[in-house]
Amino acid sequence: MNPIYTGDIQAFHRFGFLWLVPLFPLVGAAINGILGKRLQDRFGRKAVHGIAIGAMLGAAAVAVGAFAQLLALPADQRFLLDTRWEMLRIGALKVDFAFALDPLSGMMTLIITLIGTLIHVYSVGYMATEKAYWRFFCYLNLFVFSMLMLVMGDSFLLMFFGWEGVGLCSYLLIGFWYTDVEKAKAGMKAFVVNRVGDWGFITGLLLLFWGLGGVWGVGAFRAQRPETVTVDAKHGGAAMQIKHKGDRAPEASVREVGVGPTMVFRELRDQISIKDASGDKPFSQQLADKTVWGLPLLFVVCLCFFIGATGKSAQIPLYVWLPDAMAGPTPVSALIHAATMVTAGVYMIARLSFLFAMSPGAMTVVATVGVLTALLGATIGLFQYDIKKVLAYSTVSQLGFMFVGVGVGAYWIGVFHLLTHACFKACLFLGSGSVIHGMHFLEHGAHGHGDDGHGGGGGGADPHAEPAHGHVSAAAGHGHQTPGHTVHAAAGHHAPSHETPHHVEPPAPPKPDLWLAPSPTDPQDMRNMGGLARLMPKTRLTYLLACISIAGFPVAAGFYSKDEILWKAFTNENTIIPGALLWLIGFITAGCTSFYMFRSYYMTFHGRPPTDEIRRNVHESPASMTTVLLILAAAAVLIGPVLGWPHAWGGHPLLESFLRPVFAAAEPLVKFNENLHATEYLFQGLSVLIATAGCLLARTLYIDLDRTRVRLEQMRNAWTGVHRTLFNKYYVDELYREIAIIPTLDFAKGFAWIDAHIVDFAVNTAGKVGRWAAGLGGWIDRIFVDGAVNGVSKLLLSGGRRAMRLQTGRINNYVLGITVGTVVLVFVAFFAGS
Amino acid sequence: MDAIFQIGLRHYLVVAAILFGLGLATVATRRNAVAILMGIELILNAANINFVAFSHYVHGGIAGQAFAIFIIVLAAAEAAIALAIVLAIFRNFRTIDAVETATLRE
Repeated sequence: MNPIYTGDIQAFHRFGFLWLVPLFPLVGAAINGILGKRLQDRFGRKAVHGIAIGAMLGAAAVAVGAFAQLLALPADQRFLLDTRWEMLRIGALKVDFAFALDPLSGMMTLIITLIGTLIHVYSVGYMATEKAYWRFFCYLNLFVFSMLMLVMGDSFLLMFFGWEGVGLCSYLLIGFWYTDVEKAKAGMKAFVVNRVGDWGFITGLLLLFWGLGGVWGVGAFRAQRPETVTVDAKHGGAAMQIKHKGDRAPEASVREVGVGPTMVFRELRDQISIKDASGDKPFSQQLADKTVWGLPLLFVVCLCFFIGATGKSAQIPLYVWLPDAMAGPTPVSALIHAATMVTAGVYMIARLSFLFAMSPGAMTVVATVGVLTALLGATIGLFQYDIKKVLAYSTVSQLGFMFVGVGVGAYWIGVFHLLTHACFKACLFLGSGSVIHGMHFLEHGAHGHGDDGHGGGGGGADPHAEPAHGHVSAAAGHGHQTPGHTVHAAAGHHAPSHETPHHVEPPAPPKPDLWLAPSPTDPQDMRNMGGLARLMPKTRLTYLLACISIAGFPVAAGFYSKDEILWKAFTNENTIIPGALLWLIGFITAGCTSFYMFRSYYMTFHGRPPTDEIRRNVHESPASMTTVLLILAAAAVLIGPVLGWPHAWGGHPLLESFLRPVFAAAEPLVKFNENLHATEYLFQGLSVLIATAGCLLARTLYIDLDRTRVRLEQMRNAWTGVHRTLFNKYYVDELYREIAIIPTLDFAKGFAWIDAHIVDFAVNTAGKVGRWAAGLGGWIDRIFVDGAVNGVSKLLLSGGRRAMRLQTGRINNYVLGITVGTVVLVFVAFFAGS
Repeated sequence: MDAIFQIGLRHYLVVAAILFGLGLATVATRRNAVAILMGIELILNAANINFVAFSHYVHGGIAGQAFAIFIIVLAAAEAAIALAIVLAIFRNFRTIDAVETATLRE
């Protein structure tokens, strides 16, 4: 008897306008990329950002329209598909150039287009004095295009295209000011580290593809729907029936369920959820049973994908590029390195939730790495002085939270945190950008009047510095780069035991130790700031709101997502390590988060401005920037209660029900302990408590540095080792330098040596042999071949000359010849005849 | 002795042979184009004698004599053309020396 297959097949509707969403930014990038310089020269900056923002508005409009279309559909049919053309067909594999919009990618698309638009507007003010204005907006549009390809592509191929595209744009934008070697290096670092992750992505993709082919054979089954249509499968010999569970057939419904190797997310999901008559899922079972190198294939595949995610989303061990990526312009940090690109890994795992849910081992790895990254990022963030570094490590940490969410199987909450984080972190970054914009005068003013108060040798007397040793003046004075200062700076650079002034490293002048004192020209160092609240009221307000949101107070969004993640981590029964441990680490991290965020807030906006210069020069940013800040701050507060009012409070989170169809295939596989609901209030209380504790501690220590400076110094001296280790980011960069970069370079040098000595030798020898052989050939040619040819011609010539002599032209000779010849013939005839 | 003095075929042939030999020697040895032509005339006339002699003594009839007449006409025509050529050569080369005018050789 033929088995009857049924399945929860994703219904979809055609929507022919989806492709316009990525098209707009692409066109914008193309125009600005090709004509941007001319436009800027002829029509001014307005033309450039007009095009860029216009493209973003167009994309956002289409995206909102599509999203409205999506919302109008029944929940389980929310899937818009826009197939443009067939991209490739190899055997049974068919991949279309198609865009898909389901609730998950719909949400991502809205984040990208709306926050992207805001950040474009913000950039108008922030980049106003930039020469290569057009280049910036070209890259920014190109990034949005790639990111949209990443989230809207309905297959691994398009996702990978976007994945690489955003990596490229990230590289271009981090190194936007490429004339600064450090920034160019940071871009390269991001690119190279991402390559490692991309290797994981593509390896996972190929393994999965291989596994699918191995499980079901190539082009094994084709089944038809809607309803119960029986089809003879060509190769399997079994007839299949696929029944759609939805009563109302969508207008354009799925006709066939492809079974076998596929690169389309929807098809993969469909075939995994196919059930046979007895209710088993034969295909997903077969996939789960498959092993590779003795390990479950799914585990290896998910691990590889997760490696890809760690690269893009800055998780241990590949997080090192993200803090350095802050070298890029601040709007870029907000858009790419906080709101969108770095969440691509989270998005991918959410998109592949049905695969990860089948592998508890992979879920454990994701959740563990996530929570450890959260802790690592938060602890490093505790004592950074660079405001953007604080935010960067905060991003690393928050991304860790998201991975905990998707790792323990609470997919919608991971995505929810992605959404809230996009709002409050974009707001924080843009706020810091506003501050840096205000503090910018330090960079310009430093060389001109470095003596009047905030630079030069007077660093030790500076009230804003946190002097710990006598070397502050030397370190600070190094900004002038004069030889005399260099000697002092070198002494300051080393541990206090190196007092000898002549101990100077000959090649490069050593950098000043930023742990001890800020560079007086650094507009990002919080020790150069203070008391900005009155000078930049709007920036301060929005920054404070975002801080409240990220720290996890129930009035703002961050609480709703982060707390729910911790709660789900605690109650989850999917990971191998106990949920309580995940919760504990996350809980500590939450406390650190609150501390470092409010520390940055108080150091920046409170206390006394360290110099009068600040009071005179710092001013609120232009309206284009503050408006954006206000919108984002409002979102950072409101999104949480609106979309994520928790179950425990008698609500039903909107976002959960919205995203549920996306995770429907994974939902039956993940389990949470539902009996603990009563204790959820306790946990929420604890969360608020530790957030408050962190906030109060930061307030006590940093609100008025004039009072607490001495105490801070004492504490720092007492805990020098810890403080210094954290400030130097656990020396991970140095460690990577030792274990990865230097060996790699040595490896490269080794190969360079092999290249120079062995390969080149072989090549040169081959060349020499060739030359010699050619010489021999030439000689043979000259002597023998030419000799033969010339010899023949010479023979003919000389023969001709000889023959020519016979023709004397003398009639007498001829007559003689005739006569003699005739006589001879006569004689011959005479004698022969006889 | 009779046989020797009795004029017969043999005498004619001897005369003709001598004539032919003289003509051949003239053609072979002289460089003057006119002299060579004269040698050719001798050779032709030697042939005529043979024709007439053989016709008279061996064959009978007048076929030999007719041939001789033709040859005389032929020789006249030949002489006319050859002398014209010689004249043309002289105009070009200012000489009728057969050795010096051997330009066709090249």
